[in-house]
Amino acid sequence: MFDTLDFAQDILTQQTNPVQSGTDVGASSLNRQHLTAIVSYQHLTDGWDEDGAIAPSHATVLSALDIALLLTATGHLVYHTSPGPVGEVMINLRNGDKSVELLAYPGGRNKFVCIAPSEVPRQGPLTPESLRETLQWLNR
Amino acid sequence: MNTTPVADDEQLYRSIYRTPWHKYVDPDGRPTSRNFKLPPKDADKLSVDCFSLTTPEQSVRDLAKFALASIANNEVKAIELSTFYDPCTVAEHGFDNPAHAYIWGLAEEDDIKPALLAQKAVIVLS
Repeated sequence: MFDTLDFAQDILTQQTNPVQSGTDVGASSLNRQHLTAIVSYQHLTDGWDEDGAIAPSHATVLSALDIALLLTATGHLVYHTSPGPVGEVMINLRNGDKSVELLAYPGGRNKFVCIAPSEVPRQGPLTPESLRETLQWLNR
Repeated sequence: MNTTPVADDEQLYRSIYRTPWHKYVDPDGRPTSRNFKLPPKDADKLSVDCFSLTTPEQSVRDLAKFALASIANNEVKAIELSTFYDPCTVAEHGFDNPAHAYIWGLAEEDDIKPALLAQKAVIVLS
């Protein structure tokens, strides 16, 4: 059975040769550290923040990795990632003053959040449709 | 719940966990929404300290493990949240913290207000 986490770990352990690849400044190169960070969240344990935070489950890390790999494959740069207190993983994208958070939550309750000055903030379930609309809004 | 509100012009401190290899702040060194997301243990309230009753060093407790973010209480109130004093005592909590307060009004399903709080907060000790 295909495992995204194994796949990502395999990719991330391979050294990229910029001369050979010719794509060293693309999203795949720039997102590499964020993909590595998401993979590392599998090693967190409950109480990792010394304040009762729940560790992300294997399934949640996989879900976050799926989102990050999709963003990478479509050329979107990840600004930041972070685990959260209730077992979630946050993937943050920015464009100027606009901020999008894609949140992988336990149980597959994934969400998006859009924040921009002078616009009403929005959040909702993360679906293929809402992801497409969210990225279009971010890049507008 | 304590019913003494924190003054609008008060600054609030919130500790942010960190390790030597992961800061849990964004690449610009600013807090993230996850630093203001409701933790499972506190259910519906966010723990902070009041600037006027403590020092950054006292509030952060252990600088090897935590950074300290600061946010103005009027920014908290601007997004329809409320802050009330809730001093910790040795008898009830096992430690003394007269500066302790809670931000009330965050909902478990709300990921907008944590992001708005993070945008208004700054790191003051790291």
